[in-house]
Amino acid sequence: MKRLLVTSNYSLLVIVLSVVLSLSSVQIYAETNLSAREIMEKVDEESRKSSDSAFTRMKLTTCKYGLSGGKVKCAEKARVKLVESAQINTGQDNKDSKNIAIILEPSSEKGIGMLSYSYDDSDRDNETWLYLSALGKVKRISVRNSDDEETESASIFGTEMTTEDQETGKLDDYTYELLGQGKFRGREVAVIESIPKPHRLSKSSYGKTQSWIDTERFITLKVQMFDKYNNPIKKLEVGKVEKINDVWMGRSLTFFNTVSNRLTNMKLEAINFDMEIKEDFLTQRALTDQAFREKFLKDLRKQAK
Amino acid sequence: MAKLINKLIICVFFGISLSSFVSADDLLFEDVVLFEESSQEFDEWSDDSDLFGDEIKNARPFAWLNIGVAQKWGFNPASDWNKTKERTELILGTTGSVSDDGYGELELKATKYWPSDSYHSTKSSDIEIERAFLQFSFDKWSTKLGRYTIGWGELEGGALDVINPSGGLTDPVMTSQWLMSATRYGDKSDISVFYNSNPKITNSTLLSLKDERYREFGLRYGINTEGSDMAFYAGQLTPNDALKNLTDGMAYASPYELLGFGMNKVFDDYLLKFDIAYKRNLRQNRLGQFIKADRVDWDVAFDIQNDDRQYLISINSQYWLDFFNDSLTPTLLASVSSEKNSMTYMANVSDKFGDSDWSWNLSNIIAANNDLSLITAGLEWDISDNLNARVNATKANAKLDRAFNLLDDYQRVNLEVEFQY
Repeated sequence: MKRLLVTSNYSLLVIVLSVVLSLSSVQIYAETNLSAREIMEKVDEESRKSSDSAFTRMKLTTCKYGLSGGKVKCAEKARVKLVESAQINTGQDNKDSKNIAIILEPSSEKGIGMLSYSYDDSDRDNETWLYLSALGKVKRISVRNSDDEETESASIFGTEMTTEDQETGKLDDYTYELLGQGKFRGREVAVIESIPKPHRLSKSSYGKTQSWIDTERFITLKVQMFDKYNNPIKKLEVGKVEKINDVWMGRSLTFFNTVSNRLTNMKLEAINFDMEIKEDFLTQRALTDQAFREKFLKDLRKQAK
Repeated sequence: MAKLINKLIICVFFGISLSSFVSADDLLFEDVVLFEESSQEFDEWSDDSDLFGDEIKNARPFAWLNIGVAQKWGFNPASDWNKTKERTELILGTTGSVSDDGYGELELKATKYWPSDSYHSTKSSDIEIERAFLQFSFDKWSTKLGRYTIGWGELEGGALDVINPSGGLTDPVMTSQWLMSATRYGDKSDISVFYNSNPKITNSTLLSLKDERYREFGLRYGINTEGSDMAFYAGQLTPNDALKNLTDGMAYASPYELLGFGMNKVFDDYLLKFDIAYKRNLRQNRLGQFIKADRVDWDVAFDIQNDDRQYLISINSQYWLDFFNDSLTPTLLASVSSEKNSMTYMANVSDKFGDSDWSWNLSNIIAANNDLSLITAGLEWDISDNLNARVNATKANAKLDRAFNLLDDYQRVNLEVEFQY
């Protein structure tokens, strides 16, 4: 019995030492007590702040890339689009959003506009319309909503960004796991894996995503996207993080399609928050009525000065 | 004691194992680059650099002016690849605000027809206004005046897309017209009217058009709901193509009345498009008579998008409500019997070659109850933001005893190079 007790004490010691040794390694990185879901909720909240009543001018640059001397480089003359975009949050708790993006350059695509409505509710499919001036009509785009796993989200203006990459909300559609915490590019980050639930998986191009979240600023610094066979297919790198109007945001987002070796860099050349953007502007009228659109854009440009 | 040491070894091993498990996560925090090395010489990319250039910051001279130059060639493979088209087009355009509430666009096209072009026998050059309009927007109202295009209905070239004429099955590009329109926008709906004082009518050069001046006007009431758009249409329209009256040999483009409905709805990945139009007082030939007759046109189409690949599948029907056994359809040389219902099927697919700058398209149209079968294949090279080239080939087979007999064995290969500044 005594031997049994001694053995038990030894076992207890083993367990305690093991736990202490293993926990000591973990404690170095324990920076936040928030769960993965709570972190993603905060990211979503911050993301909404950075897009609400925002008027932005962005440069979308796309090229085939390669790596030389350890640096990512364009392998061809880059395609450049200059786009103006206005967005507001709407709906219950301001969790839905309405966005319009108009191409200013190149001249061959000037005036092409895209109107998008994103809904937080998983049961409501997002909506997108394009204006085709040659046909004199607005065309609704069937963005990926189906259960067909082989279909993919629509590209935005021919870039490596897709309508799915732009989505916000729908947090209930995913399960989240905290993979770890640590330092990344000098910032305390949490790495969170988001796995779409079955009903969402069927509508998604991604089998899972891993996001590097700055746990102080609650912005995403990097996202790694995987296909449904767990292969890495796309990566988002966020650079030039700045605090604008008390909101932390990345002014340079680069999507790397690691299958096609193409990248799209979205550089926010100008961003203005708390703009007075009427909901009336974010309707199909802004696509077809150029006088109405120009009047609003002129007003937004004036407000932005 | 030995057991204690053993246990400690196990303990340390277990601890280190757990610790190394945590260390594995450290990989997450390395700023690793996942891409393969390449020996190719690339321009450097960096988040902080201006690698992508100052193309936009350094505005080009005359930025208000859009300039395009296109060189077009057409060949007939069925006739020793003779040139049917050789023309150079210069396009000058500008867009912009004209006042606080106004906006305007102007696009002029000058065409030089070279001697081998089939048009050269009638004209060696031409200047056209491709688009020119002024638009004013006040409160809920918008008005637009000038030369432009109005697209009715859901399907391009469908039952309701009747305002602007096109070059037909072999050249579906729509032509703009001089129009006046006004629209009142509501929260979830809009109502618009248009008026055209001189509708453009396509007519065979071998026939003289009966000079009956008609006006064209119409109304569209659109409703937008979540996941679907719909619209109701009414108007008095003029046919885009003149119809030969077999009794007097003249060509007529007499007006008809239209009532229609069009809608789209998203079903999963598919966008369903549906149009239906009741056309009253269309002209029809009977043996020794030129009569008014009513027809119902409808079309159903599915628009499917999967990444860059797009499919369009459509069915179109023209169903004569007033039909007689001696109804006739005139052709250039003779006339053939008409059919009560004429069905047209179309399938189109377009995509990019992988992630290159090359794209392709393929379409097959089986028109008028298989009287005509038309296959078109195209290839486009998007060389840069300013330059692109495309080639397309068309082949048609038509029944010799039916309306499209002149298009039998029609073959064309067209090549275009376009630069836009």
